[in-house]
Amino acid sequence: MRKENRKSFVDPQPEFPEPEKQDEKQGEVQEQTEQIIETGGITTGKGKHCIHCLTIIGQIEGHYILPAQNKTTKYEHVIPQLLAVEQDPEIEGLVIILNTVGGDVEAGLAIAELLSGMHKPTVSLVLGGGHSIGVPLAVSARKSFIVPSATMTVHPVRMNGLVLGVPQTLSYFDKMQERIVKFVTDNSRITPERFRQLMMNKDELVMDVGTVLDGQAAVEEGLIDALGGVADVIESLYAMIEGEA
Amino acid sequence: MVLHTIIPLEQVFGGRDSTNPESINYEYRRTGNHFVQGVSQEGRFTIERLIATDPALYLDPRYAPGRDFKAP
Repeated sequence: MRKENRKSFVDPQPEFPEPEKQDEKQGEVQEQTEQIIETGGITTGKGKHCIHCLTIIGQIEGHYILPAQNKTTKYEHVIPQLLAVEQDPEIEGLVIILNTVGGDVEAGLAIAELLSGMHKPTVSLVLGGGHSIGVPLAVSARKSFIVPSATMTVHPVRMNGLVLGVPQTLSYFDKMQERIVKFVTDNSRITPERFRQLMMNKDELVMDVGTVLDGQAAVEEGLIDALGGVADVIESLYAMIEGEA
Repeated sequence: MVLHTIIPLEQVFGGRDSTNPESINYEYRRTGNHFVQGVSQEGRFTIERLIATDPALYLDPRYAPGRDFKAP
């Protein structure tokens, strides 16, 4: 079914399609639109190269199902999708579009690690926001872009449920945080010292410690590679596919 | 569970507490060699999760979470 769909995306269309062909084309467009709305992902073969677009939105849902008022990205669906993208010979590259408020540390890091380990060209774009655990996700692609109006919040991790006020709790938090610091600094130009400094900044947020970086600041700090929009993302991905970058 | 988010936890978990646990009755449908987990309501079966070993199926829009399941 999927291969049949993909084939129909690249079939050349006559200039004046017959009525039934027009209906078929409208059906394809409708189906493609529904796929974007429902799954947040789409494989397109109409351009120069066949690429897959994965959108990571809302909360990154982890081992617990979040209440229905949250928009979520489900890791149990995204992880095999990434495997399929890496394995599928027809898909040449992956675009990751992020507009996330963060979420589960382990689920976020799991997706980020898979992305950073992919052989296929990957480019990420932060739109709106790429906060908290969205930061490792944004830097995991081979090249990362951010639009000027987007923001990224860098702040320490928190825990829900019963928290005991003992030294072990602090040590556990430190370890969880260090996993994020290490991944981000290994996959971007920012140093661990500077990232920790941004994370612990007391002068910027009212209810928390941390730093809000806009697009320009995220690039200047070395977290994101470049400022840009969708055209830059496609151009960069095509260059990678064609072996120019 | 450690959440790393800018949304206050009381907002993320709003409406759910020990006196009001959310109970979801999941059902399973078998299709070929794989299963879909979902919820039945008003005659529709909405997919919550695909359980399959073929990664290509996860790119198949028919099995995407949130989609109504139609038996092949």
